[in-house]
Amino acid sequence: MKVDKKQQKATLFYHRHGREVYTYSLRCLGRHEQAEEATQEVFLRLYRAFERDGYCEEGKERAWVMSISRNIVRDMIRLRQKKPVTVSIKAAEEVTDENRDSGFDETVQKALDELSENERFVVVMRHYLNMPFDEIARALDAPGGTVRSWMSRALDKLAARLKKELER
Amino acid sequence: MNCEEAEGIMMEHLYGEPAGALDVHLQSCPGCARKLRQYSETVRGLGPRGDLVEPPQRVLDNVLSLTSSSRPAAWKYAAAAALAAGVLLAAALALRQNEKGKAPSAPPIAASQPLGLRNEYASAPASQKTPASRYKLEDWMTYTPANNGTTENGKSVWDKWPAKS
Repeated sequence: MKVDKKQQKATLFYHRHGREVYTYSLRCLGRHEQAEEATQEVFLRLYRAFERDGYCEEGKERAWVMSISRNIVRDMIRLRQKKPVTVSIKAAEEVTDENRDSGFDETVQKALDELSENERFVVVMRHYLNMPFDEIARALDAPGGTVRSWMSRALDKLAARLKKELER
Repeated sequence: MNCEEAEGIMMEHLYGEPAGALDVHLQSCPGCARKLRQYSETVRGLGPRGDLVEPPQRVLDNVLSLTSSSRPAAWKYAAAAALAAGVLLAAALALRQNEKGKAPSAPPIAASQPLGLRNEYASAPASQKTPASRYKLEDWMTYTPANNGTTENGKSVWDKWPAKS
């Protein structure tokens, strides 16, 4: 397959940020197939941005990629809320197997699912992607103080939820 | 430092930033010290930090195939569809003509519209026109030559016309 310059650039971005985008999508959406769809869409949008000669400032590449990821994942979450996905028992078992393979803790994932969108985005970006708060603030287009307060609220909710699960 | 400011710094401290002035606050605020312990426990419960998951290879393959330049652009599909529609239309018209069993008729000409030749002829100077064009047929039918058709030298006026070969 012939690869043009924009595709080469998209591939370069994929090798730099593909794992971060995928992990973010997986932790926020909770399912591999949806994470794949979201990751694919992120890099298609990046390719289209390169077609329009879009660029990001030096040193802000990850925040730019993650802000695109945030928009796509948020749209998918909202779409799912409007149109809940019916999952068969077999499919649910397959998802559990997949999660076990990727070292996912079901309890943690359920607790993350109960957070608000912004709280979940901050926890995933800070904890799983190891992004500093200032970079998260750029990706989420929110003030740094607000981002830190989403994080502390999220940790309060997670503590309560994880405690309840451990007591079961 | 108040408790609200301490909480902001706690978030940084949980992920490895030095505590700095936070330590001083924690020594005098048992509530914040308890909160920090609870946050640390929760963060540990979230699992390993920076634990990234590798996406399947098919994700990149799909991106490259969907953006491949060998994939015809949308306008090419539209042009091909328009061409196909044109060919079908022409075929349908030809079929219709065949069914009628006659050649396509010439477009009707308005009575007022002169034919090309007639029009060209009408605009030509009188000197270039044959005498017949200057008279109507009735004029010829009612024409009576002077002297009952006899010229001065006793020949018929009709003799002026060249003999038929």
